[in-house]
Amino acid sequence: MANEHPPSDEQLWQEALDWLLKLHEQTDAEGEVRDQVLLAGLGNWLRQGSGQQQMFNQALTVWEATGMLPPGSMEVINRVLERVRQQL
Amino acid sequence: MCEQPVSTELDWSAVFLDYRDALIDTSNRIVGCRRRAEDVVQDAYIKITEMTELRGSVRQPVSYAFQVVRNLSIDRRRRLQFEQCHFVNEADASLHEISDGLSTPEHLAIQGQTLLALDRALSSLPERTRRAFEMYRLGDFTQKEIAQQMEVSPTLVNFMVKDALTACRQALFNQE
Repeated sequence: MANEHPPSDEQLWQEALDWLLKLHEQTDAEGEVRDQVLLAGLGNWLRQGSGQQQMFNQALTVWEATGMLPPGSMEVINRVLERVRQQL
Repeated sequence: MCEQPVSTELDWSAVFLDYRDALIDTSNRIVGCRRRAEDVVQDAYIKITEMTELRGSVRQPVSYAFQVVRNLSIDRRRRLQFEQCHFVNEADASLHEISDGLSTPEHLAIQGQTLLALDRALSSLPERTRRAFEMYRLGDFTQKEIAQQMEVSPTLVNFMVKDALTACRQALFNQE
């Protein structure tokens, strides 16, 4: 029987966030995602429809934009500073 | 390393000139191509100047510059890897469409006004939620580490991170 209730936008958004956060957790310091199973799973999810693709695209856009925000927390600043010192 | 003090009139070109080689090296280690790394640093400079013109002061400007360069580099490498894995080797028209979409100027051009809207959206969140999100997104803490520091469950941290991203989505895409 065909699915008469496709997932809502909110449901797809939450699923897209779940994939995005998993991707982030599995990205190493060089920016590489080494978990091929995760990538394959994400590919399968995206192939389910245009709604999934649209939501993942939105999630990526939001994620990448937030990477350019200045932190308001000193805890975050200190962590970044510590990492920069290690690099120099 | 000497951090410049907080200033609304900070000369970002001086920061980027002083640390240019180190910033490019940081990006190059991630993107694996010096020319691409130079592009990332240039892009970071533009984004930061747009953002700070609108927002005003930034604490620890050198750290902020490195943070933006590093995050941009990681995002670009991950995007490239993702496209290679899923959109090039597989003959799947719908996925090629998303790949094209991800590379459009509309997707990449996050302007200063947009960043300001995101900043405001995050500022409207409960302090604890914003802090958890910043630690996760900008500080590279894991959800487990954040949970330990905040003395809450990892599940709550996961919810706070997703709440923050949802607020940003509303700001970015004007979703109700």
